[in-house]
Amino acid sequence: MTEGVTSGVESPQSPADARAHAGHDQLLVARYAANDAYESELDEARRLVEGCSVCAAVATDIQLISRATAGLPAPRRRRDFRLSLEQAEELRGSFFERLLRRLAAPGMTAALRPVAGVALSLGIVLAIAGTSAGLPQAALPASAPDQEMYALEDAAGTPAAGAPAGQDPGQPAHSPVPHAAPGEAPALQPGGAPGPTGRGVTTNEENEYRIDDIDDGGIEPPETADTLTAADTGGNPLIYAGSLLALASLGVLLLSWFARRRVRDPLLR
Amino acid sequence: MEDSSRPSGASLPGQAGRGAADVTGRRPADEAQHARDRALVQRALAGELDAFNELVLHYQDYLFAICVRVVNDREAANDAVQEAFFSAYRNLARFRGDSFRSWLTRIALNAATDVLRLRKRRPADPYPEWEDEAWQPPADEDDAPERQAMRRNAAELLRRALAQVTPDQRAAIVLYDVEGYDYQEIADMTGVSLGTVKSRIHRGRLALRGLLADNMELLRD
Repeated sequence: MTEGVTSGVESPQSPADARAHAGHDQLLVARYAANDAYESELDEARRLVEGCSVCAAVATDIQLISRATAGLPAPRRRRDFRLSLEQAEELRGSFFERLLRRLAAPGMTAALRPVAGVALSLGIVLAIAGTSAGLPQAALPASAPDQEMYALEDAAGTPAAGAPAGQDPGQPAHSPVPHAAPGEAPALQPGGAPGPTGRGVTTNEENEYRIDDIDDGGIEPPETADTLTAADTGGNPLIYAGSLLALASLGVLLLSWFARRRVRDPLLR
Repeated sequence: MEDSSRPSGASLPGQAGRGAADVTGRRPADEAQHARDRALVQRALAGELDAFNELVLHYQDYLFAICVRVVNDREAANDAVQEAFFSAYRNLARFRGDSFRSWLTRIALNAATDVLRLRKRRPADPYPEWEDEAWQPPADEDDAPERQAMRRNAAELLRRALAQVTPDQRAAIVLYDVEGYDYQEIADMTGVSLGTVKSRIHRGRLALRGLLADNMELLRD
């Protein structure tokens, strides 16, 4: 701020004028002088310029400075800034740098990022869908021993242990007892107590009965979901396509990110 | 160019009824210049170095004038302009705007700011080339020697005062008063808001007025 500064041509201000001027908004006067005051400020600015000799001098000086600045002669350049072939070659950089620069260009980035993002999402969805599609196939054979067990129990006239109450034992259902690995006894709830689902009681005797059946070769040892999934999904093209798409998109995104970091020019901030 | 960002104001006695911008003479938007620049950029992108060098020929005086006023040193300004053209060449594919001139100005201002930041301090004499004829206003043959001397004196005083305001204020004043850009263009070039640009210009002028208070008479002539 330049409060109290008098213009060279203004008449000397009285102490009263100086005191009054001390509280005047010089920035408003400067804006007014440059025709840059807002409508709401115009009355106040006019009052300052018309009522205070110092503010009037400031306004006049501001205009004068603006004109004088515009009229400043331009200093002459002595160097020629045209690029030589060698400089141009050096600035162009290697093929890799040019590729990165192209990737980092705003237009390319603007197009590439959403497309790669969508492709990445699609790839992940495809891979998940492919995996999920393999899981039911894996689950079905695992329940076959249960069905055979129900059939055996139907023949004996007793309901199958672990069969849900009120459910037709002939209907395929997932056993509440977790399947064990091949060659192992099926897992039981501790102490034969009802499982967390409360869907039936499994006793040690029944367990032995089942083990005997298995050992006798009446029921094939259940295959685990893990072994089946690996087998079934091994050739699923959805998983391959999805994974490939996701990886490629991720690669493009990473390359784009790397390019932006690598060729970032501080002068283009 | 019509400056729509400027609110309506009042005319002071002695004022031409237009803003300072008009006093300095706004240049009209030059579509032909933009079209020419875009064509040269396209050719340069296709690998024609001559096309880029033609752009350099068009803008090197202009960029040097801005940079030397912002950094107050001829050599530093040379470096800034050189860096600006290097950067422009490297990143030509990134030019997307309408005005190559504005894009280049922004790069040059950033380069000048970097130069100032590197120097960290002002030189003892911000204008070591006071006696350099290149800095002197062109003499009018009809002018009396005394009058020429006065004009030179006024220009030197104003340059010294400009060198003492903050770099941001100086850049804004140079772009507005000397180069004739409007507020919005300066805001775009410097990456600050419109209000900040206005504030820098007005505060800068007030600071100049404070620095020149004892010599305002010279500017009146």
